[in-house]
Amino acid sequence: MALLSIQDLKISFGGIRALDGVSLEVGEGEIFAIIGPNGAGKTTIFNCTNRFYTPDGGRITFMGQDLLRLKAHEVAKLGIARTFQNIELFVNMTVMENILLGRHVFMKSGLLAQALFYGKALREEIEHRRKAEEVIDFLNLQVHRDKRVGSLPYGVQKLVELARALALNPKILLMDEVSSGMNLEETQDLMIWIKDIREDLGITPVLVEHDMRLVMAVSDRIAVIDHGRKIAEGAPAEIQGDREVVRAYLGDSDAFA
Amino acid sequence: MYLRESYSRDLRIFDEFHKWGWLALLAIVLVVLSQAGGNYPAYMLNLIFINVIIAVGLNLLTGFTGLMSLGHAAFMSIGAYASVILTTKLGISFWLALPLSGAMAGLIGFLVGLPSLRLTGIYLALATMAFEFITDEIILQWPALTGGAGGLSASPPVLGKFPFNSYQRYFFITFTCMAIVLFSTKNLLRADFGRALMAIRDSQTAAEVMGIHPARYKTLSFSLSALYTGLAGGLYAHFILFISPDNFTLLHSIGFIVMIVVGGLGSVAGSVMGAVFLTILPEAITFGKDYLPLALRKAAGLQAAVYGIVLILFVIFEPRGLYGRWVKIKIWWRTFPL
Repeated sequence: MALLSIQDLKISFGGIRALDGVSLEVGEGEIFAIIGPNGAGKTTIFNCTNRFYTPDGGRITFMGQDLLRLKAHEVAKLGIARTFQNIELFVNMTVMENILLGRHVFMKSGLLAQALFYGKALREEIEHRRKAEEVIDFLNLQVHRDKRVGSLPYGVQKLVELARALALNPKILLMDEVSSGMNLEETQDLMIWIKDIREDLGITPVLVEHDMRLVMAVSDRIAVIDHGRKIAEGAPAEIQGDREVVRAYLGDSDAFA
Repeated sequence: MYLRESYSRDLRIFDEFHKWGWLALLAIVLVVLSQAGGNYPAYMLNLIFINVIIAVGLNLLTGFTGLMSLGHAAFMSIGAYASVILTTKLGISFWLALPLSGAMAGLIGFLVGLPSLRLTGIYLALATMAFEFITDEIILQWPALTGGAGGLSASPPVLGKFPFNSYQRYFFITFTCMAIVLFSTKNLLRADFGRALMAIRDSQTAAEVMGIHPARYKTLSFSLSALYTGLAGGLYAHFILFISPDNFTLLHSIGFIVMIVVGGLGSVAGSVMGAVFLTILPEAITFGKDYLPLALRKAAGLQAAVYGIVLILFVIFEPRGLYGRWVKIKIWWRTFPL
């Protein structure tokens, strides 16, 4: 059964049909990429899944559960993590604090225990720090642990965002253009991490990406979105040869004739 | 320099244990100053501690959660009136009335916090300002309960046979309350609750994706902030022993904001510094007045004008407040010969 299943998703903003009946199935453990020209509606799919938008029609289910019944803050608990195209970090907090916020859904101690910082609150704090350290080790963020996020370079901030999402221990990780703003070396590392995220952590990565080298190298399956419709889906090799896809990216061949 | 060997060490309020010693020494100095220094220092210390509680409460809301309030004088008046009415009209002991007045303000804070789920920035400031005027009007129009413009008298609290009827004695009550507020706030802020508040302040979108319930934390922050301020109101009422609407005006609300901006938004230590500064400032104005030209000395609104100038100067030259300046001085000394 599909982990994340999107059926016939429709949403309009004013007169613009951002999504016009998109259906996707993401299976457990596959690296799924969504590509398409600017403004095709890729991020909108994520925003509907995260429940920032309520679609006009269609269904989104995650492990059989109807996501459209939930509020934005309830989605995380199911195991859906997300990173953003234009970094949404807590800039005035340290890297450690940012990552610990990924553990928020697991923190159960009451307000009084936290006010005394004793008993359960203290135990939880230490226990979750251990998990945060694992994530820091995984992404090699040790030197930045106690630095304020706002003072870090762009590429590192992207990683902190990824770390925060991983701290959630999600089943699925929605990555919105992680590679943007990264240099070649960082993108190279990212490629390996995406594979590690699946293999070592057992998380299913879903990418919205513009970097075709990255997409073609890591994805198992690719969906191409254009003007709110899915125009192609398949393995990287199939997508590269698809006439519709070439047309969407480069324009009609007739136009040049 | 020290090395951290465990997470529990990493989590401490003070990285090195001897700093607690300095704090204890400061407490001893304050006790000696209040008990042996005569009436005036004891009076000032009480006032400072009450303002510290308010500043910490307001900073929790504005500095840490990013929500503005121009209604904190109203929360203070609710706490003050509740405590006096409970003790004088219902005969409830001060020791029970004080937490109850805090709880009362907290409950109303929860209700006032509800609009904050939709409003931010200047609009929230206006909504809370409206709350301030409404509270003021209710107090004025309900003389049977509140004494109206004439105000209410309170009597000093008594513990067993021991009355807290002087500034020196009352010092111990305000000091204890402030210590509890500071300790619990510091703890909340280094735990999940505090991080959730700051997360909402820095990016509500990301906070929601992390599973933080914004409505819950915003209203909780409002509640807790109002609770502290109400508690301070109750303490204030039984300290000056007479309250009237004049003690809780919009200018007071603005004064609280000046406190946290001057002290440092988003810092507990800054709240303390700001409260100390802003409690001493009016006294300094009173003393300094005599040296001003006659026309200025008599001018109405001198205090408000000085508040305004201080606020503007801080926003321009030290937006991180006194606390930010303090941190810079510390770094300067650590790297001194450089």
